[in-house]
Amino acid sequence: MTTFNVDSRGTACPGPITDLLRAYKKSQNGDTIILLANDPGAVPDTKTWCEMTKNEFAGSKQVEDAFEITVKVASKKA
Amino acid sequence: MAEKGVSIVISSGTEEKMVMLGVLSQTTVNLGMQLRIFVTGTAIPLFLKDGYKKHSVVPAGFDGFMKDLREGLAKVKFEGWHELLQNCVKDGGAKIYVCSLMSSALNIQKKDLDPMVDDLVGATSFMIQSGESQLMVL
Repeated sequence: MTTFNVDSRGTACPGPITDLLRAYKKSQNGDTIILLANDPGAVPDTKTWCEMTKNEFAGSKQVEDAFEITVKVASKKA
Repeated sequence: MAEKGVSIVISSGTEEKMVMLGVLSQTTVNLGMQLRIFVTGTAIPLFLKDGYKKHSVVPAGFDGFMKDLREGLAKVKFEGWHELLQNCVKDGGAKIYVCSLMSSALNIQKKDLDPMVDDLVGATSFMIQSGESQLMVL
């Protein structure tokens, strides 16, 4: 299991999701992606993306001036 | 056979519309959806070879707003609409078409267009290809 740390602070829509996808492409099921972003749309956009793609939105929390968003990769095809 | 996705008609080349085009395009590709863009009207000059490098068109009456927006976009590292569209073509297989009617009227040929443009097509081709896609007009 690998954890991908993605620092998207300072970018705005659609930057955080674009950065998340770059990590997602390299990931496998069971991996974790931790996205740091300060765009106000990053949390709802990531939640919606997880729902649509059947990946797991494992939570978000405020860390200083950014959101730390955790995604568990679950829907990669073998 | 038409594939579901998002089809965007860009009919005005003002700076804020091009920002929206870039954001909506990149988001469509991020979501794994097929993207088609139909370029027409005053957006056409921006899709000529090197057209994007020329001065952007500020919407009338919004000079101050656009100055603030431009500075704000630089702060949030906005990549620029042309770069976003290039990514969409390269990574997402997006198709960019230019209106054949206006191209004929303006004596524009395929060789005159930005290399990321797929083809000159008519409305019929674009509508049939778009099929059941969501259609957005900017």
